[in-house]
Amino acid sequence: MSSDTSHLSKLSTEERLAWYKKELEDKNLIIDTILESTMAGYWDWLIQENTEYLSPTFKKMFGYEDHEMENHPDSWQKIIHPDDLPNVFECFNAHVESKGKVPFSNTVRYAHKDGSTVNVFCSGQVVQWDEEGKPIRMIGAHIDITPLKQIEQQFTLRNNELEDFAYATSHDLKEPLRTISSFIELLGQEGIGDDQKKQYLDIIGQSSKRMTLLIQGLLDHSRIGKELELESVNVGKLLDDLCSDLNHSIEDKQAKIEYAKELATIQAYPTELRTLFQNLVSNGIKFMPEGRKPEIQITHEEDKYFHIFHVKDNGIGILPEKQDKIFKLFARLNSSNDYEGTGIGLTHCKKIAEIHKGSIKVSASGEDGTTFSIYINRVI
Amino acid sequence: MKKVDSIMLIDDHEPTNIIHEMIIKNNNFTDKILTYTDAAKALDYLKGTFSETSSRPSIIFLDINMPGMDGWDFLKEYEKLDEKSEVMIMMLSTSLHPQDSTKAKENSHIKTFLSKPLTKEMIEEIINDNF
Repeated sequence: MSSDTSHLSKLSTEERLAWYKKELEDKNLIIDTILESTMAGYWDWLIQENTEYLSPTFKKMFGYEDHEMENHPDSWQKIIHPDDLPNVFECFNAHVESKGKVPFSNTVRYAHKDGSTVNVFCSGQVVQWDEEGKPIRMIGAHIDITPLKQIEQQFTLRNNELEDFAYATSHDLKEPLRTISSFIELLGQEGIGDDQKKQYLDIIGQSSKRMTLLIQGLLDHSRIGKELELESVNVGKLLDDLCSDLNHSIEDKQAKIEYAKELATIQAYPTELRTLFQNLVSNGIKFMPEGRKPEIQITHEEDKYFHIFHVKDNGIGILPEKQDKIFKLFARLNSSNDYEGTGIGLTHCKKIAEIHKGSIKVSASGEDGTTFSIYINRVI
Repeated sequence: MKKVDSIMLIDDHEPTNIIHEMIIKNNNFTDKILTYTDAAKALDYLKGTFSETSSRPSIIFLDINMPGMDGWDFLKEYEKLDEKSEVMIMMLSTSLHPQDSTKAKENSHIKTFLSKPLTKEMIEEIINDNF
């Protein structure tokens, strides 16, 4: 579109008006398209009259139709997060006092009509001042940055997980090493008896075995998700194979594993999914009170987004306050004297659920057992 | 060399307890060592004997990272007990998680953090400084 107006002088008044009208419509179309496609809303505030036009997209961002929200500053002040309002005024004052040199821009939270939080980047500018230098009119835009905020939160979460991972790795790998070197030192002391020597050597042996297990666990964990092949997986069949592999411990503990033969056929990564079920079933068999026979039920349901598998056991249960901890690397809730393990199995499960764009959680737990629920995304 | 009445060791890792017991015995820091691999059992002991001041340990060496009741859980329960002012608690860890040091600063019962394993010099310093 041309904004060259030199040709207009040759035109009649009507023709000129028509040209301007078309120009205006074009500009409006561009603005509307930009606003619509970026979901940006705008506001136009007549400061001295204290009226404020709020664009339909502005209102839509918070779940309101145009007619449901009055064109008045009160409308947004009612739904902005109260903690964020003072900063908005501060920003505004700085902008006005500096005669517009300090930009007006801030990030604020609003309450959506449905109760959720909308994160908004708001920026604006006074476009008209009166003779005394007081602001008359201010225009600004709202951009919904909620998805960005969510990514930021995820990023923080991942970062914390990474920190935990680094800590656990250094902490738990150090422990057996430290033990080995301490006991080698003790062995070198004079005057220790044969029984003590044997005890020390046993401890050294156990520690190096534990070290090997921990390193193997870490290697396995880092390999999860490396070579993924998405396939159609018959989960009932997968469990058949799994049970036949675990046959020894199932018979040994007289365990009962129940699931529907045609449980579900889903798109998934077969090797990883198998590892996930293997860990949950083995845990179900392992963490049993003395004298109780393991009974494990695996069921399936689905909703709009996920295939959900429930693995229910009748084991010792997990205390509510420990239910987050169990998915952390090398976290063990039970003493190694009672239950063996490195504490990496459920960490594997969590990672596997996540590569299936889903999650895993404890959905119920008590003295009569625990139910784990695994969410596998229908679209991976 | 100063000596204390009794020392309590709480660590799920038995080899660590063996080493700590040996250092304490060899250096004659106390005549009475109470060793627990399960923090809940240590707490039961403290609950049961707290009326007799003589059986109260002078120092508790408490491991942070334990299955079941961990060091933090133990402290939480410990705070509910009466007459705890005299006992000194030392938190032990192989390496320190950033979150742990923040937590420790907020807790008035923790004298200090020590890294495992304890040495003769570490225990000596604690006893000389505090008893």
